[in-house]
Amino acid sequence: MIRPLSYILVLGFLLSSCQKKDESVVDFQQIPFWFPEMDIPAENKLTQARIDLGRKLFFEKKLSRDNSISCGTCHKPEKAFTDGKAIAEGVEDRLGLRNTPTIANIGYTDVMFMDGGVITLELQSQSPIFEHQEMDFTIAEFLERIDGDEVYTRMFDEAYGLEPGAFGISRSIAAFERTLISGNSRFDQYEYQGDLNALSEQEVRGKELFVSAQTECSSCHVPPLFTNFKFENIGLYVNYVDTGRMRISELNEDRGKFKVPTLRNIELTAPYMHDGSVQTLEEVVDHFNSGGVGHPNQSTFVKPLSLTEQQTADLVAFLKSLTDQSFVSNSDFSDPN
Amino acid sequence: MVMAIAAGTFAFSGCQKEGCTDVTALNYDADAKSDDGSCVYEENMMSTVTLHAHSKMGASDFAYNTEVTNWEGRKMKFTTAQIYVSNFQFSDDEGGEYEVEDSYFLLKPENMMYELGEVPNGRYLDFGFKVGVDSVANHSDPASWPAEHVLSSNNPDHAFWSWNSGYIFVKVEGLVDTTADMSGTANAPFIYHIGTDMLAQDIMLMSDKEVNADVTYMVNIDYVKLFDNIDLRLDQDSHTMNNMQAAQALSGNISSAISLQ
Repeated sequence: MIRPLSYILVLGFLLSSCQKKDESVVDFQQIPFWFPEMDIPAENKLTQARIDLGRKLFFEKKLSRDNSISCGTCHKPEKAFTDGKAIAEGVEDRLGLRNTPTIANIGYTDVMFMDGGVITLELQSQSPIFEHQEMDFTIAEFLERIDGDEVYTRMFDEAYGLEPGAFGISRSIAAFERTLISGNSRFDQYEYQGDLNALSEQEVRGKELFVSAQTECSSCHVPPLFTNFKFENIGLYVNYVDTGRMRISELNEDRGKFKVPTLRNIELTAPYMHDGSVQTLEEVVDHFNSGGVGHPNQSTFVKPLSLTEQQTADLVAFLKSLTDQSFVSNSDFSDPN
Repeated sequence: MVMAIAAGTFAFSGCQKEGCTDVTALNYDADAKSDDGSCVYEENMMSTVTLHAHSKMGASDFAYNTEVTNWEGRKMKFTTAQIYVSNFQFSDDEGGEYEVEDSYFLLKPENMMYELGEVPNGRYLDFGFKVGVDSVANHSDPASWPAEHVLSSNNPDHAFWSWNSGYIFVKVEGLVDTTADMSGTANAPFIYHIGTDMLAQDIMLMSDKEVNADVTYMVNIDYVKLFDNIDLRLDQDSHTMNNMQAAQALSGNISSAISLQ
């Protein structure tokens, strides 16, 4: 007959082995250690359910009036989330206002659109749906379209405990976008991971030129994100048809200023500038080398650089080393539909 | 035994006065020791206020796609007409004000009745509201409102500048005759999307009313009057920021376009 004490001991062992493990925190973003921390709003912490819903909606063409356009139509993963066009085109090929920007590492900024008119990802994710030149639709009509869709109903419930609607749409797309981290280019491997074979001699020369006093490129394109998130005028035009930041602030001193874009994956995101008017990286470097047109609001960093042909080639080579192949081919970022 | 009980009952009723023991009742009796179910309460301490918004085009009742002439004799017709209004408040006869909480509405000609909410009974000398939304709401994220709320981006008539965060307070679209001598038909599009904090308008309407039951305020909204002194041939559209002058002109007409019936 087993003694009562034995029972207690056995019970004790069983209880201790049933102790709850610490719930491991899943890292949805895998942010490189040389990147800053990303602020994530408390109401939209990352969960797999939210990311999955956001990704499905990101590539959902039903969000456009004629079922032809999704976010992924202009933000194509294989082009680092740009579209290869000068100006974005919406439904019925309607021309938008500006060149489609990349959204790699977009979670770091509170400046949405090149003029910073919108300050959260959650707000921005709704904008193209309603824009006449883009998706030309409404959330109300989209909800009618997916009415009764069991997959969406379940996904919205799992993500936010809500029925399909604007909150779930905007928050989940933002959640998905926050996972779009690009930090594994050959430059990253060389600079932060100690792989001295990752860059060629020319690319290293270009890198050193990039941060040098001669060019001061890194003053605005600050590594590792390659942007300082500020608005700058780079003297592209004497007269700006698109007044950029001034459109929002209504200040003359903001005329012709646009958000400093990241240079990551720049090899894949031609054509360049807010209006896609510059075709090649060589021409971009030539513009900065020329010192701009001398616009009154021009950044003091934009001045003649006296680059040799070799130096121009080196800089372009360096810029191309910012391409992150693992980012553009990441199956987690592709169209799941 | 029965006698004892009967005596006891008589004795008890003599010691315990019965009456209404609820302090909130009109006939509360502080001396009553037990409640006899006689409590009477003031009914209707709050009454429902409804806005009856009657949309017009000058002297005519509003009708979509129907030609009318504006201030200078130019023909125009409307295809879209909607106005966000908010912050309804009532001034009583003692200098006090009652504000209806969370009062946001989207006025459209086809909907005439808007239940504003409840106000305490009393005499009110005027009522006011904002054409537009208050600046806090104006910079809110539309998706953060409850799904059925007027300001939510779920609203089928959601009117919001998605590139600069702000509601389009007054959204009026249609067709207008743009011939120089105004001899043509209304066939050229006009679009007025008016917003931004500065162009919201606070409306105050004098209406001395004793509110002691559900009440309705009848208001006229004249969409043609919004375009007084605006040359629609030169200013066919304003999205506010791109044509501030025309936007300001329309905003300036709002208070004269809204009147008590």
